[in-house]
Amino acid sequence: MSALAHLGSTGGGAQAPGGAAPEPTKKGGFTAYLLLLPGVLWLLVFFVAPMVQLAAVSLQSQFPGYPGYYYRDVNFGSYLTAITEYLPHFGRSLLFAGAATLFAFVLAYPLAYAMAFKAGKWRGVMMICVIAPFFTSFILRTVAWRQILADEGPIASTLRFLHLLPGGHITETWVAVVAGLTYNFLPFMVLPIYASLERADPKIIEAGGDLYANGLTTFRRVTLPMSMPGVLAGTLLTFIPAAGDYVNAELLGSDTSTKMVGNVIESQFFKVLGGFPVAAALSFTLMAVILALVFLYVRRYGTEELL
Amino acid sequence: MGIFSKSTGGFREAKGDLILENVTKSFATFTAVDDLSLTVPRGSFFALLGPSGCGKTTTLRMVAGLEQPTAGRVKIGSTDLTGSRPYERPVNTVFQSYALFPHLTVRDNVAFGPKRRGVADAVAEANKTLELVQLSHLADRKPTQLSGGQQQRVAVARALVNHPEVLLLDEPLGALDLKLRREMQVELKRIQMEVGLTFVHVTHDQEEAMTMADTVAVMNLGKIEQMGAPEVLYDLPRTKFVANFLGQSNLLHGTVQGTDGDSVVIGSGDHKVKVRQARMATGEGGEAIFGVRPEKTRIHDTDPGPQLSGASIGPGTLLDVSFSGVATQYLVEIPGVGRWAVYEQNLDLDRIDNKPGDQVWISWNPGHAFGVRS
Amino acid sequence: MTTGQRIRFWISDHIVMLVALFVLLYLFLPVAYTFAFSFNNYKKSNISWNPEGSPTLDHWQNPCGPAGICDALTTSITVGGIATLVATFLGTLLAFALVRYRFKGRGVGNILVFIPMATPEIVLGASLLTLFVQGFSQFGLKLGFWTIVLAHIMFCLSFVVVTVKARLQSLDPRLEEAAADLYADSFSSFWKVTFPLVLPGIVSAALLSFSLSFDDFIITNFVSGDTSTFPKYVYVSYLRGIPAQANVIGFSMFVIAVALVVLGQVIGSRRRSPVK
Repeated sequence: MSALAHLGSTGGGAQAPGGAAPEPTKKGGFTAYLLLLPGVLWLLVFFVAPMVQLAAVSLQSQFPGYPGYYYRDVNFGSYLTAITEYLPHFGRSLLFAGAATLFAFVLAYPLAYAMAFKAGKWRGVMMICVIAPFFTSFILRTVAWRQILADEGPIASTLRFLHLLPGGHITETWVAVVAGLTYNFLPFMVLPIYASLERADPKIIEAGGDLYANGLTTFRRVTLPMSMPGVLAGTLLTFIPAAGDYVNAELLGSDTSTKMVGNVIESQFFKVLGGFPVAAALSFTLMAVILALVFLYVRRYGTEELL
Repeated sequence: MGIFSKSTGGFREAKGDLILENVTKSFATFTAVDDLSLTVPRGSFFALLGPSGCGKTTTLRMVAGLEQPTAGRVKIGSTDLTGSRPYERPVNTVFQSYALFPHLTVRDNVAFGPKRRGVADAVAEANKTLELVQLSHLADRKPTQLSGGQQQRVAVARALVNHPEVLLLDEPLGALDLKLRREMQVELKRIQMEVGLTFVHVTHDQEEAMTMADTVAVMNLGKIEQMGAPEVLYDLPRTKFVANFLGQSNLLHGTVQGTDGDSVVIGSGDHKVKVRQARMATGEGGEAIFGVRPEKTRIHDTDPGPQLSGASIGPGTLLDVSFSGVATQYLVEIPGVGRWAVYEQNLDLDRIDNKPGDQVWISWNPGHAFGVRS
Repeated sequence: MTTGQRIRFWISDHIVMLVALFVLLYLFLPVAYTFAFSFNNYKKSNISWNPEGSPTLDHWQNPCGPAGICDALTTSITVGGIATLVATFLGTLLAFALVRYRFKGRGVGNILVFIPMATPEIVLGASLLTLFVQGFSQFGLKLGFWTIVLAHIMFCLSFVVVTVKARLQSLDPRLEEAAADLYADSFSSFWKVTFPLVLPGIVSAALLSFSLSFDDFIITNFVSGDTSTFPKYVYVSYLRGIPAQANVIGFSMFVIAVALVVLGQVIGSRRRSPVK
């Protein structure tokens, strides 16, 4: 994830005054379509067509007596199974992702704020520090957390010693899964918030400090609204991958009580003979739920800048 | 986009006056320039002055070739440039905010035009022009490393190096602070005299237009309201818009009530004022607006009326007095007319000591009054 | 001012920075762990620290020791390279079309580019798997190296478009007008002005593509068949115990990438600094 840097970059010296994106002036269907053709074709073949195929699979039926063989059908049974049997997994996916997004926001905001307004000449160094951990493989770092949080590790033993760990474990619990999700997607929250704070004029915040004696009010009335586009982008960039993740639940969670939808989809595809239709139905339902939540969220807080 | 093939458009040589013939530019929802005709004599410094949205920048862009007119023709001398591309015209622009290429050094910015035209020693030409604007020592820097004033001079050099027949300046001093702006005005004027090219300068700053240009055209709503030498425009505005946009004017809206010798009498309520026939911009009868510049008026604490009939007004209530060293500015509310201003130089030793609330009269030399259309 | 007050003021002045440093520490903790355990003299699995014989440089001297680890790394780098080249090229063309032209279907185009980014990776992976297995297998396409490449190009494409688009939109349109005014026809205006100015955006899009592709596990896991990439190698070997060489490689990638970023920043700031 190295070039996450671009999310926080502010371009060179060639900025349009005012920063507003100019509307395209060139008419020219032919050239435009020529430029679009290869990319759009790629997306049609490797994004749209797979989605259509996935939809078709989710409606297929099993050949009775031949596990792993399907025929084309319009059978909504898989959706029924997906929703009734795996409702708790959906709940966990949304809950864990929501919690991770919230924690990521709480951790990311002070960091982004410090980078934008307090860091001075250390800004570049801090930026590298935010991105740098992500050059080490995502899986390796998650495995590292497994060891750090392990029962015999320093954190768990300290907490146990202080009698602050009623269950005795951190790993194999939802705490570890949410911590892992928070950790893994934190930079996706930091960088957009930093980018929008960096564009803000610190004088406006000073003026806010003048108007509202209380620092908290200044933050709520001035700083936060100014960084809202960044918060919005950061929330989506954290929530969406977190809700679809299964690696953290697999590596940090337990066998049963912390599994998310992602884990079910993965095991239905790879470990359950004849699991394709249910896995496809689960994928579609997950996508529908996420898109619906994103849509509501963007309508509530959003701008059109995202597109 | 044509980015994969070089077009072979021909560069058009042209010499002579810049001529706009019945030029109109309409966009989807409004007309920016409305049937404009104009001749800018070769070698003159011409200013297009007007508020934002008056069509002055659109006019400039049509001369540059960045916009094509909806109707009408753009010519230099006898060569018709209408329809040709910007890179085919012997015209160069100094852009608002300069539009310097951030990835090129100052020297490469200036050499950009000559290189595109295949000039044999483009870099030497660039160096020569940088000398003219006194920037040789900064030739290897990038534009972002320069101050605003220096960037502005690079922009001028980048256009001048091509020896255009017409140089267009689009609010080139807008981004500079006041002091630097005055310096650059002198500098630009010097360069224009030195190279002797036609300069067309677009600005909304009336002082800038008047100090620099030989001819000023005041534009409003896509049309030229009035055109002429700055002194003439200031002394005798022909429309209410010009009277207000170019400097400040005290106005009285009234009707023409007759003549008195070589003067026209304009009346409103109890007030009667006179304007010389030659300084009236309307015909006989009907509505008219009387005007006089604040610095041409004096303030009195008694009615000067009997001796100065038609060249004074009052009584009014003094609203505000502000003393600024060389002059004092008075603001007077005249019932039925409105607020008038008086600028008086502090020449008298025994100045009358008026306070807000006092009753005062205003007088002027009848030769300074003017009448305009409403 | 009392000492107590002074301490309170100091804390309230620096609290944000302190929290920020704490968060950075949190980000670096697993990296430090990876670094430390690359020196562990492990027996069967590299889970706990073995005080006997540690630290050792053995794994650094023989990073390709465990079977398949360097093959997986090579696959990851090759896939990343090909995916980056293709995605950057196609995405740049798309970005130019979407920013520079008005045409029918521009809105649909923008949405088509945006949705893959708003789709969870697992759904992308699942859908590609069904297509490759049930659709393309008729044409003899087997899951493996090339299906990984095809999938990676797809998800990198959207990120390239967004990155290049942002750069293009921030470009002052007057610069191209100035080029035209200075006798550049559309050919030289593009290659002398537009392209050099958009290039940093294209470069960062390529870097982003490579790192997304290199680090991807979820989609790769669905479409890779028997082929292994570095993240997949680590994930699969997790159950048996990850060899310390994985930590060596992971940490080396970190060092190389940080060095590249620092180098880029130094070159960038040298270009900006005044020339004497």
